[in-house]
Amino acid sequence: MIPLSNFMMLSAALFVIGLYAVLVKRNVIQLLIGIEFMINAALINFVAAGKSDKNYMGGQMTALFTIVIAAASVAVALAIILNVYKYYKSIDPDKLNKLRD
Amino acid sequence: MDDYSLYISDSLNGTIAGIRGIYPEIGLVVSFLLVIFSELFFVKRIKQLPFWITLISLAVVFTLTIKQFAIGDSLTLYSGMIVLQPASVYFKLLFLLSAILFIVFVRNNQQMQQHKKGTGDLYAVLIAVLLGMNCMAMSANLLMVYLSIETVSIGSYIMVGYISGDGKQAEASIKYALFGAACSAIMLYGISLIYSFTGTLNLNADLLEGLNAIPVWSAGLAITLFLVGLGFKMSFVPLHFWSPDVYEGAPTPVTAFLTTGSKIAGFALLWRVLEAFNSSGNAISVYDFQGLIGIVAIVTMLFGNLAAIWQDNIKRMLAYSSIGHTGFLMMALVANTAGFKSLIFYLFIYLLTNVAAFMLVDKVEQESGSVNISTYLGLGKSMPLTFISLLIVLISLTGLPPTSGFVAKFLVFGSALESYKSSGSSLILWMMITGAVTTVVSLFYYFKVPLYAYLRKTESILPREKFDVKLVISLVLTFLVLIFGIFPQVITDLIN
Amino acid sequence: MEQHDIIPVVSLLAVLMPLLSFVLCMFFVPKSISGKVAVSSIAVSFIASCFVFFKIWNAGNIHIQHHWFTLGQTSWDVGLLLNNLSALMILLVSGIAFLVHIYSLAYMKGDENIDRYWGYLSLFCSSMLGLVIADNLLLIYIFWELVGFSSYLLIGFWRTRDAAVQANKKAFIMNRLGDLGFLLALMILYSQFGTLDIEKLFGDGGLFHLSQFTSGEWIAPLGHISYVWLLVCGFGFVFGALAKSAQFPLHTWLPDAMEGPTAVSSLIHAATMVAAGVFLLVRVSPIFDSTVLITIAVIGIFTAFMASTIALVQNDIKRILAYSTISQLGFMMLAIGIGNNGAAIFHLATHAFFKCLLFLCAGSVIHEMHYAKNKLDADCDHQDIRNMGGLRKMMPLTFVTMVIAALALCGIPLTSGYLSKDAILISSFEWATTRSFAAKLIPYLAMLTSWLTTFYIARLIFKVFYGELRIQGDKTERLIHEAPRFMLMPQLFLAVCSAFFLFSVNPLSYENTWLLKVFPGSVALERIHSYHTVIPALLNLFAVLIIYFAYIQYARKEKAMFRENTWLYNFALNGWYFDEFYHQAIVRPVTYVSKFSFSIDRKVIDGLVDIVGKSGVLLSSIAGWLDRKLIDGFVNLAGRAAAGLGNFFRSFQSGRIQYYLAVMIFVVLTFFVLRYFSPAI
Repeated sequence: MIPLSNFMMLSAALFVIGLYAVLVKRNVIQLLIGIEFMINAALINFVAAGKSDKNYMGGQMTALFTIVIAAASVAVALAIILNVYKYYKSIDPDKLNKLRD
Repeated sequence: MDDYSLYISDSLNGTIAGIRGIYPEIGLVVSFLLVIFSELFFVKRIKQLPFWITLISLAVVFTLTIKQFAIGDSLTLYSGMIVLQPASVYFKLLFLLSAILFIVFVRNNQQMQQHKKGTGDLYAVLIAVLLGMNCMAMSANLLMVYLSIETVSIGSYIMVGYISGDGKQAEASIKYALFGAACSAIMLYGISLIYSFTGTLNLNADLLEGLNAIPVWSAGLAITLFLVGLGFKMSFVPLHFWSPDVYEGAPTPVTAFLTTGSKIAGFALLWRVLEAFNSSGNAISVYDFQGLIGIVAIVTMLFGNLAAIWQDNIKRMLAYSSIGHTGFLMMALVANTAGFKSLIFYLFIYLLTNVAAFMLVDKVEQESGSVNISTYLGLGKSMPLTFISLLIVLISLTGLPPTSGFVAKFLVFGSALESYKSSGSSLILWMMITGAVTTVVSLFYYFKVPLYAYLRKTESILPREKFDVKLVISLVLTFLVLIFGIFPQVITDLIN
Repeated sequence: MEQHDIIPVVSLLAVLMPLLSFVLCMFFVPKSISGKVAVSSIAVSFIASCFVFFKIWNAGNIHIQHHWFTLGQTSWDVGLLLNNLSALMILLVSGIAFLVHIYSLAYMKGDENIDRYWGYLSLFCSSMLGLVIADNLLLIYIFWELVGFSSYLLIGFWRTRDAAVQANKKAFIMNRLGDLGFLLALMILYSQFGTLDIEKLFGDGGLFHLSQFTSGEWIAPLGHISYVWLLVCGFGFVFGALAKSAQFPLHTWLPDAMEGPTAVSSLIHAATMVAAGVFLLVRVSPIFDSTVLITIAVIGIFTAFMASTIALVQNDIKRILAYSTISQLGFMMLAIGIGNNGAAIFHLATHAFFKCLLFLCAGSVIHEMHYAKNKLDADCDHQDIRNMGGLRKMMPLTFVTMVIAALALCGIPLTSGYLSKDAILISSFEWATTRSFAAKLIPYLAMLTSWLTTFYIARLIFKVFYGELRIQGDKTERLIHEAPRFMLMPQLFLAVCSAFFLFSVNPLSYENTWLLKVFPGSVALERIHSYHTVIPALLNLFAVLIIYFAYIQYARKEKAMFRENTWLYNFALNGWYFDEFYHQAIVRPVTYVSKFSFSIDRKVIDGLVDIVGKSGVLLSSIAGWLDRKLIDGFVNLAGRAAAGLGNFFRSFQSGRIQYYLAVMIFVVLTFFVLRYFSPAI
């Protein structure tokens, strides 16, 4: 059996990659992809740990629900990005800074 | 399959038995469907049908929620997913009040009503958000926590970006969405870590034992990441960065709702989590929540109140002030059960004053076009009722007698003092000192409004005050704020 | 709510409605509707008083109290005492006030300061009503003062007239003198009994009745003082009543008070305020021992006689009526002095009606004369009866009502005045039978005064209404009309009340009046049959003769009865020279002393104060410098620190989302690392 810790390291790596994408990329869509990475990292954790939770299937259940939520979240975010593009003609997060101190 | 047949019948029975505990939520689902139907088919004939359906169904849900007080002590439903306690019922009532004020506000907000798509969908989203908030107040399982937070968040992104009438509103919604999605993802990762460490998602003693068994910093990491998502909802430092921008940019009714309902939901959830973590019989101390809350409260109070000094845009100022209030409220969480009364009272008063403040601000913006405090010159004379009401509301937000803001702050200080006496922790002392100092600071920026409105003159033509629903409701809320300042027992007696 | 609970509330309503009207008329309501506000509030008051009266009369007392404040050990209450006396008074006062309000609508029409008028009038009504239902002497004192104050405001209503200003000062100062006596009496009572509550003191088994008077000592629950103090206490109350009811020697303010509007004179100086003195004496009557009572009787009859002689020769219509009031009040005092409180109150009630009516009719006459005078541009005093005459042809209704009132004043049978005057006279005879010779003089003097009364009022009626109008001018008669409707209606109503049937079924015998039947404290006097028939017969016979004589003199002959410029005539005309005496004996010395003290004050005391002031200024300038430099410096520093910190904090909001996220992650990680991996935290 593959030890749980391997899965966890994989998910940690994915999480960090996602975090990097969120913090650095100049394209909002790529930012969303980074967020997806982070979610998927968590999913891996869930599924991997769910192997030992046969009674309640907590991990698998959570994974399914999370995929749905992630999809909804991305859909809404994309719609909002379209809206922003209408006004700013750009999807560079740095350009979206009219609201500031 | 035979292994599971027992579980299936059990869970079916559990599901059916659990229905009696979720009448309000069922009511919300039904009304959600009704609103969508009416928006699709009947809105051409009766223009404001979605509004009325929403209002009536919220009233019905209100009565259903009040009936839930009769449940007694806590009731665990749906195999540990949700737990119904009297404490959560109080929070649910606050959410309902916030939602009702929100829809009335939307009904009277010019920009919303002129939106070519109509506001029916907004009401539907509101109901969904309300459902999510209810679940936040009742959640007993980490999956439920995540689901409810996400429901509320996604709904909120839509609400903020509903009109997108100008660039600022669109920008606000995208900032909210991106920040929120990132924080939720981090929180999900934290939950997954907890799950991997302990093997259970239920917030109960098993979880705590499991967390106890691992090295302290692993548990600490997991819980810290989990709290990131929670903090996003409550907007305490360092997860507050979105709130000034989003509150400034969003349409005013939505801002009012976010500052009140959404924030109260965050508090409800934090309360639940704290209760779960502190309530196990042998007081397993997995994570030092007290310390965290203490430090976070101090920093948040300082941050919110000091940054507000420089604000000229009134909505931005109110946003920073609400961050300050969040910090102050966290003092009440420190005191555990004694703090509950002060927490609910403060949240209730905060709800009333904030909604009143935003309604008045919106009225001023609509009639005079000024969103900056420095352009409020001379409006005190030409819009007397509005500004008197605003003055009283600001006094309450500052926390001066005889308004109920003072009583609320006083109660919170009282509960913090009690816990200081029993635990002797100097962190609580620092929290109280910071609370007092920042209250003084807040006086300064709140009083810029009447200063400009009453004491400065201007040459330009001043608008006349229109006596409309917003003004009436603000006056009623202001009156309530004053009354509860003089007779706080009316409310504090209702809280157990 | 129980019956028993409604009544105090209703009576409180009666008191407070005019107070509300005062506030509204003075500050909030525009001039045009201030009249309606005032009249409606007094109407409500009147209805409330009727209700109270019918519930309370002969149906037991209601006494409720409420804690007011505590000074040290003593606690003071406020409360209402509703017994027969209060119920009667509240009905009387509000009824008359209501009629005068209606009258004023027409009389004061067009006056510039009408809102002030209604305000003051309402204040007066409120204080008077409060006075009659107050349950403790302190409260009565407060309302007493308020009544005096409202009277001051109303007398001097036309503030631009010098005579009015002088008059109201005089009234106020004299009233204050009387109040000193009142206050002294209160203090004595308080030190003896520790309470000023009327029921506690004078009710059944009251503290006062329990105190004993033995061997020159007054023994009471709280103290043990010489008997003299009882007399002082009694005299104190009497002194206060003398000022308020315009008796000798504090009577000179009332004739001058006629400078106020006639409607005011009718309400205050005929029917209500001046009756407050009599009311007070009846309330505290158990205190008076025989010495005090005799004094009251003597003062009463002396004043009655003196005033009627002065009234004989006056020429201003209102002054005649003013002296008449003083005289009738003297009769009431006499009644109290002989122990017949019931008769005093009875006469107070009947006098209120017919005197008010006399004044209202006089007001109508003055009003019409004034109007005629303005039209003619004549230069004469429109209140002088020598300028009037023959008005009965032009103002028939006023004539009839005034005659009815005059008959009541004389005490002719079939009027209410007959019943009350008879009550007093007959009981004074009965009282005198068992006493010394000097005491026996009193009833005879009363009869003489009664005949003088008949004469002067007959003179007034005949000079005003009979004969020819003496103002010169073209078609003068056509200018004078009957009084306007609002002035006539109260007059007619009061005329009806002045007849006998309001008070008794039997027009000739006073003993059957319902009013007298319920008054306690009427000393049981031996009823001597003969007096009850002889005296009224004698009195009225001569009265009719006198009326006839006056008719001949004034209506026919139109000649002055008395030779002017004789010593006796001048003595009476100038009010027995009391005013001059007071001026020389009191006013001048006091003015001199005050001028002297003023100069001392300016030179010596102000000089000292100046030095202290200058040193204070020096100290404060030092403190100001310290404040500015040091303390403000601190405060500014704190402010700048806050601002700087705020600036720092808000600089984080750069508007770029990735920056936000980065900072957030950074802080979280830092927190985590510091928390778990650093040995410090």
